[in-house]
Amino acid sequence: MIRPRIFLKIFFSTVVLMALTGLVATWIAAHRVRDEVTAETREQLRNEVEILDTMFADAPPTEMSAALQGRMRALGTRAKLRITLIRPDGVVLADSHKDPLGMDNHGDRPEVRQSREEPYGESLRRSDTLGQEFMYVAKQLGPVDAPTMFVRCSRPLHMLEPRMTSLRDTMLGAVGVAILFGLLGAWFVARRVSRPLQAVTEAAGDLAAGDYSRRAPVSSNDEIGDLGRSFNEMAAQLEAEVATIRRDQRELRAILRGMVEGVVAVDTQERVVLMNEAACEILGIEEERAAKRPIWETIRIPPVLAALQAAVKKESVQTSKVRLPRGGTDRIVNLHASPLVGDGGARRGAVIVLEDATERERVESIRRDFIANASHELKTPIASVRGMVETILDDDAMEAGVRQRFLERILGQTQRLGDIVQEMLALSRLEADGARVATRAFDARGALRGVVEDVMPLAQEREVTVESTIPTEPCLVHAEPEGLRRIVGNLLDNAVKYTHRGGTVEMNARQTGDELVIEVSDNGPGIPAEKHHRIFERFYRVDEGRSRELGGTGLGLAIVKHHVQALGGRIELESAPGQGSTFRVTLRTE
Amino acid sequence: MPIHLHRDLEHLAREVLSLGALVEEATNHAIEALVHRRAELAETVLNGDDRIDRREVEVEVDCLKMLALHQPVAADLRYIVAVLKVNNDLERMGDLAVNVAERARYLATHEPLQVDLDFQTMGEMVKRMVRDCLDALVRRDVDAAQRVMQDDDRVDEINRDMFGVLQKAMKANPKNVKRAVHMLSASRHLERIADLATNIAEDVVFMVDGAVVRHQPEHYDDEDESED
Repeated sequence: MIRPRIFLKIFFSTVVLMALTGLVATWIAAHRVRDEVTAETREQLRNEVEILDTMFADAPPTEMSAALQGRMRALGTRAKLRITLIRPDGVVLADSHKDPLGMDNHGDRPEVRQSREEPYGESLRRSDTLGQEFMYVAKQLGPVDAPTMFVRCSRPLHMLEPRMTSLRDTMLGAVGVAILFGLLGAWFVARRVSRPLQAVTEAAGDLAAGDYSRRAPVSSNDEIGDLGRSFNEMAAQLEAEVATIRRDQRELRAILRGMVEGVVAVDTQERVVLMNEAACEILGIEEERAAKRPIWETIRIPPVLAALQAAVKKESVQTSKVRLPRGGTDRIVNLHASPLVGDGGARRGAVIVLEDATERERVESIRRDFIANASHELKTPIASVRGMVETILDDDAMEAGVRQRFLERILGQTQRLGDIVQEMLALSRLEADGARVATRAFDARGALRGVVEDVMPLAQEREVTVESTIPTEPCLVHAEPEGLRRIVGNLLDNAVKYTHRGGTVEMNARQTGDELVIEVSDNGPGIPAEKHHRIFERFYRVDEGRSRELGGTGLGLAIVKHHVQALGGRIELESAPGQGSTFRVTLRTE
Repeated sequence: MPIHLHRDLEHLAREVLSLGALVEEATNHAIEALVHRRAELAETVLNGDDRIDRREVEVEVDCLKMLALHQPVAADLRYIVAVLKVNNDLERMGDLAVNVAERARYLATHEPLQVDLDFQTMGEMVKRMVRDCLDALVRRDVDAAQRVMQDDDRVDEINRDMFGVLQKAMKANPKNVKRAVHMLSASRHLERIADLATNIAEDVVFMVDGAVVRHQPEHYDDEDESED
C-alpha cells in the first residue's frame, strides 16, 4: 500500500522540479540568445548604414530615379540587406526590395523619427508581409537641423530561429533524460524508504494485535533505521509493562480469589469492574454474568444495592449487616461499602466488602445461650436447695419425717447439680484434649451389650421396649472404650426418655467396609428439620419443659458429638416430626 | 433528544429493576417464611410492601412522562409499554408475596400440619421463575423468558396436586381445615406469582421480538403435552 504512494510522490516531485528547472534555464538561455542575435544584427546594420552614409554624404539624391533604384536593388541582393532611402519629407526615394512608388510616407517610422534626435534610429518589428522579425536601423544624413536624407537598413533576425530551435531541442532532450533519471531515482528511493517503513508498519500492526514480542527489522543507520530502533525500544518497554500489568493482575486476582471476604468493585456507572469468587458465592450469582454489567442487573438484593449506591453517590463509607435468608437459616453478611477515589480525588466508583459473619454469629449465639443456659440450669437447683435449707433453719419444730423428706430432696438437687457440673467438666476436658484420646482397636460387642443392659432398668420403668441387633461375628472398632460407652449410652438414654410409653427403641450395629455403623432409633415425637443442627449444642432442648421434667441436663448430645469427633467419626440425624428419630454414628475400624 | 431518551430509558430500566429487586426479595422471603416456618421473616415482607407500592407509582409516572415527552417509536415504544405492564405485574407480585407471608405467619405460629406437601420444590421453582423473568427483562433474554414459560406448567401441576392432598387432609380431620385452607391459599398465591412471572416473560418476548406470545396456540399445545 505504502509503496506505490511514496514512489509516485517522489517521482512526481522530482519530475516537476526538473521540468521547472529546465523551463527556467530555457527561458534565460532564450533571452540571452535573443540579446546576442539582436546585438550582432544591430552592429552589422550600423556598419552598413555608415557605408551608405559615406556613399551618399556628398550628393544625396532628391528625386526617385530608376538608376538609383537599380543600384539599391543590386546592393540589397548582394548584401542580403534591405536598403531604403528616404527624403527628409518622408518620401521613399529608393528601396532594395520594393517599388518606392507603392510605398507610403516613411517619415513617421519609429526608427526614422528616432534618428532625427539620436545618431541612430532603431526599431525591431514584425513584418506582416514576411512573417519575420526585422531590425531596422536608420541614420540621418546632413546636419542635425537640416537633414538631407535618411538611410535605413534592415535585416531579419534570421539567425534567431535556428538557434532557438537547437536550444529547444537540447532542453527537451535534457528534460527527457532528467525524467528518466527521476523515475529511476524515485524508484530506488521509494524502495529504500518504503521497504523498512512497511516492515515497521507491519510490526506495529502485530504489536497492536497483541503480539508484544514482535520486533521490526533494522538494516540501516539513517532516520528510518532510527525509527525502527525507537519502535523496537518502545515494543520492548511495552512488552515489559504489559508483562508487569498482567502479573500484577494475576496476583491481584489470586489474592482476591484467596480471600474469604467477598469483594465487588463498581465504577461510577455502577458497572461491575471486579468481583471475586467469595462475593459470587455469598450473593449467589455467577461471575461471568455480572462482569461489566450494571450491578443492579445481577445483584438484586436491595440492602446491598442501597449501600453501594450511597457509597458511589455520597462518597461516604457504608456499613451494615444484611441477613440473607437461605434454607431455614439466615446468612449474616457484614457489608462494608466505601467509595473508590482515584488520583486527584476523582470519583472512580465504589468497592464493597462482604464478610460472611454467619459462623461467627452462630458461635456467638451458642456462647450466649450456653452462659444463659448454664446459669439457668445451675440456678434452679441452687434456688430450691436454698429454699429448703432456709425452711429447715427457720422451722425449729419441724417434724422429723418432713425434715427427712426435705433433706432427701436437697440431696437429689445437689446430685443433679453434681451431674451438671460433672458433664460440663467432661465436656470442657473433651474440648481441651479431644485430640489426645488414647484409642485402640477392640471388639465393640461387649461394650454395646453392656450399654444396652445398663439402660434396661430405665426402659422397664418407662415401659419402653429396647431391641438390639449386634452381629455374631466380632465388631472391630478403633476407639476408646469409655468414649464408645458414653456415646451409645447417651443416645440410648435419650431415646428411651423421649419415647412415649409403650414405644420401641432399636439399637443396631453393623460393619460396612472399614467402618462400624451404630444406629439408635426410636419412634418418639421426632425433631423438626430446622432444629437438627442445633440439638448438638449445649443446653439446647427441642422442648424445654419436657426435657427438664425427664431429668436431662441438656448436655448429653453435646457430649456425644464431642466424643464422636474426638474418635474421628461422624454423627448423623434423620428425623421428622411424628416420624421418630434415628441417630447414626459412624466410627473407623482401624 | 435521542440522548435524553437514551438516558431516560436507562434510568427507567434501573427503576423497574430496583422495583424488581424489592419484589424478588419479598417473594423470596415469603417463600422462605412459608417453607421454613419463619414468622419473623414473614413480618419483614408485610412491612416492605409500602416501598413496593411507592416504587410502582414512580415507575408509572416515569413511563407516562417519557411517552408524553419523547413520543418514542418502534423498539423504544415497545420497551416503555412493556415496562408499564411489567411494572403492574411486579406490583401485583408484591401484593401476592404479602398474601403468602400472611399465610406463612399463621402457619408458622401454629402446629405444623402433617401432610405430604412439597412447598420446598414449589417455592424453589417460583423463586427461580421470578429470578429468570427479571433476568430476561434485564438482558432482554428470550431464552430465559422461554424457561419461565416452561416452568409455569410445572408450578400449575404442583398447585393442582396440593389441592388434592389438602382436600384429603380436610376430609380426614376437621381440625386440619383451617390450616389446610391457609396452605391452599398460600399455594394458590404462589401459583399466581408464577403466572405473573410468566406474564413478564411474555412481555419480554414482546419487547425483544415485537411478537405477542400471549394467547398463542403453540403455548397451549405445550401445556396440553405436559398434562398428558
